Amino acid sequence: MADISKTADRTVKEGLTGSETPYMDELCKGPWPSHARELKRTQYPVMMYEEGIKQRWTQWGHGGMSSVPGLGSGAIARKSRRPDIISHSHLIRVLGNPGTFYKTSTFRKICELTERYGDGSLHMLTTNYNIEICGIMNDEQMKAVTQELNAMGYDVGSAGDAMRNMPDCMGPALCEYAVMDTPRLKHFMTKHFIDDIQYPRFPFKIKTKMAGCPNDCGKALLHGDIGIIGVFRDLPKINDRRLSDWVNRGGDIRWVCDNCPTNAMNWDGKKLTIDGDSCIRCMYCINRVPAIKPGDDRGVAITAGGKMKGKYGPMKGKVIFPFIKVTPPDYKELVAAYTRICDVYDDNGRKKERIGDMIQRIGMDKFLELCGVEPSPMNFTSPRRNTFYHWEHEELGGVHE
Amino acid sequence: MSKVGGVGVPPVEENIPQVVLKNYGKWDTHEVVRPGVIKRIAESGDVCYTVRIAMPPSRVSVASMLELCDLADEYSGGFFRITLRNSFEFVDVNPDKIEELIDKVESLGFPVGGTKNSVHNIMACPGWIHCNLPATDSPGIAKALGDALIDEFKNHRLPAWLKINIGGCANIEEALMADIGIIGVHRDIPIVLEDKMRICEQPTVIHSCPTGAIKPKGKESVVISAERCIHCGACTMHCESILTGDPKLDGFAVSVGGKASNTGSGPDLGRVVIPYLPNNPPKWEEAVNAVTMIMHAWRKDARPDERIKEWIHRIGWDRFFKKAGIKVSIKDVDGYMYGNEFARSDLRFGW
Repeated sequence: MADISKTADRTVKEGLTGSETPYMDELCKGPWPSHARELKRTQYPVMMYEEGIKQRWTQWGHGGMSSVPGLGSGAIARKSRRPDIISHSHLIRVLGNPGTFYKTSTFRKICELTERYGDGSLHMLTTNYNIEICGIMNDEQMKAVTQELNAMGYDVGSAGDAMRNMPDCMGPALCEYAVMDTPRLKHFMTKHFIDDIQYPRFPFKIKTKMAGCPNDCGKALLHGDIGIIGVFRDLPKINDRRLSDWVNRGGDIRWVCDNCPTNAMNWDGKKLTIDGDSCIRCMYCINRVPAIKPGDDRGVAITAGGKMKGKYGPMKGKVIFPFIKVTPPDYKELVAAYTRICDVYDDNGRKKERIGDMIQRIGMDKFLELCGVEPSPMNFTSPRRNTFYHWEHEELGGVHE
Repeated sequence: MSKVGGVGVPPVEENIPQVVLKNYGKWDTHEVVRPGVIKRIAESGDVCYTVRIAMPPSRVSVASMLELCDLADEYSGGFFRITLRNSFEFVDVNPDKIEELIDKVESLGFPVGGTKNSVHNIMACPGWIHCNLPATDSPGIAKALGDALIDEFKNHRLPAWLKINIGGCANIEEALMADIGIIGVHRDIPIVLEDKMRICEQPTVIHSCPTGAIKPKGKESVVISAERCIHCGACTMHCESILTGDPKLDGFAVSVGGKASNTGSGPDLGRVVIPYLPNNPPKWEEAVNAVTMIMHAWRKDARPDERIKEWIHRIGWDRFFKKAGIKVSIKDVDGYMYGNEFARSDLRFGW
């Protein structure tokens, strides 16, 4: 313990004497909030960053999920390449709140823990919407900070080859477009899958993202290994009286009709109609016109395979389950579908292979079969253009016997 | 040893203000009353004002968060939200005190804005602050871009919204999902410190490579094939004697046209249009020039409501390169794996 405080003291002295950090001083100027200024307000070893900019090369070394006895995933170790400045600096990932809402009374406690155990800097937020408490120096402190967080009702996790934190949009808490209750689903899913979030058992990480509507602010389709996105099947609802009020107040309904991506909308000067054969439920008119609301036949679509990293490069997610009813409080169908995808991945994925890469390797047809999906046109943008099928033995009626 | 964990996250009700709880799922509409300030109106007639500010890229100090907490206590009943683009939002602000709050928060150095047709908060990974992989310093670039585009953050002057994400290496998902993305690019294979390879497990390192680019060299070292390496950094996770990057060669690429929403032509990942620009801290002129060049071309040419992806969808990539003043090189032609899907198979040119 004594050792650590010594390191921290030294770095503060080095960092804060202005002229020693010319590059960071430059980054402190200007109107945009500066990370350099933030770092200088903490015990972060500023010379690590300063030297990084000076040499144009990161000064941090080897790291990743570290296994702390008695603690699940969530602890991340990072060694330094510059032992003359600091030997290492670890961090711990705190699972973010549902809807990413925070209350100052509890957040102050997180701040206090960061001051006490870490270097006083927070990463708000990570790409999975965790809060990282940075600059923790040893395993005992990691465990202590976790215990204190647990006592507050917070938890750590989301590192290594585990299910990651499941970020959600604000959903119905503040947004009128939400067709699915994302914050409550996030709360449920985190509780339900907490062991998988804290104990890595999969071939590689599973990032799950949730978005309340096809606007997909949670970017679930693009970067969710598994994405859960609120959808509706019937047509958008039009409130005629409200619409004419809106038009009379200067709302440009013709512009909206012209910009409908499938030209499904028709405004005859008095009444708006939406053509059921053209509408693709893209949310455009709903976003633009307050008198149009999402339909009532609501559920979620589950996508899989979105990612950036890995062998086959960046990929969009693919629709696996186009529509699943959302049934709180146990979300039975949704959990069954979600678990199925995870199990198929667990059984078939190779080590360090993301779901997207696995689908590319084994084929989408095979993946859908393994997931037990009854294939529908919702699963593809077009049918295949080759005839290189793989016929199963049973399909050949035993002719090949 | 006592078990820790297994707690999950706090319930939704614990961290939301009364007005949000009362109108949960019953919000009707919203309007942006001024850049950064959103008025949300519920079916019951209740309103909830939120004030959005830009956050420093990646790291924030406890000292600053406590200052913001103080303001939240004073003006929004102690409630705030971190948006999905990492900006900070005071939730349920008293409408009479909005001006006062804006004055105070701006005097702390946090600009108010980032709503509707403006540049939204710029997202960045930790970069050189705390990572071993990055080819570029994403927070530094984010800061330079933020300084250059601050007026666009504080005003609604763009055709649609502009989201800019920065990732320090090829692994960061965020970059390709934004209208303009910056992705760190390693131009050379990782450096193998042969005299220190003894501490690593040679088979584990070889096995870790997703493309089979690593082969044994003698009994203790490895050799990496430049042909096959995709700069993912998987080997560096298993061996501290392999270092990514080369300060003289590293830099970043610029992508455009990422979009998550299903409106218009639908969701898609961005495409890389500038293959490489050099790192040039602390001003990052190359990054700022590239982004402002693309932004101005889009702004001049796009129709109202048209995000960069939709603009390119309408005019075509051929006209995009001309209008944005970007020179096409062979690096723009995708030669990786299934990349030939992007080769042109029609004659509908936009001369």
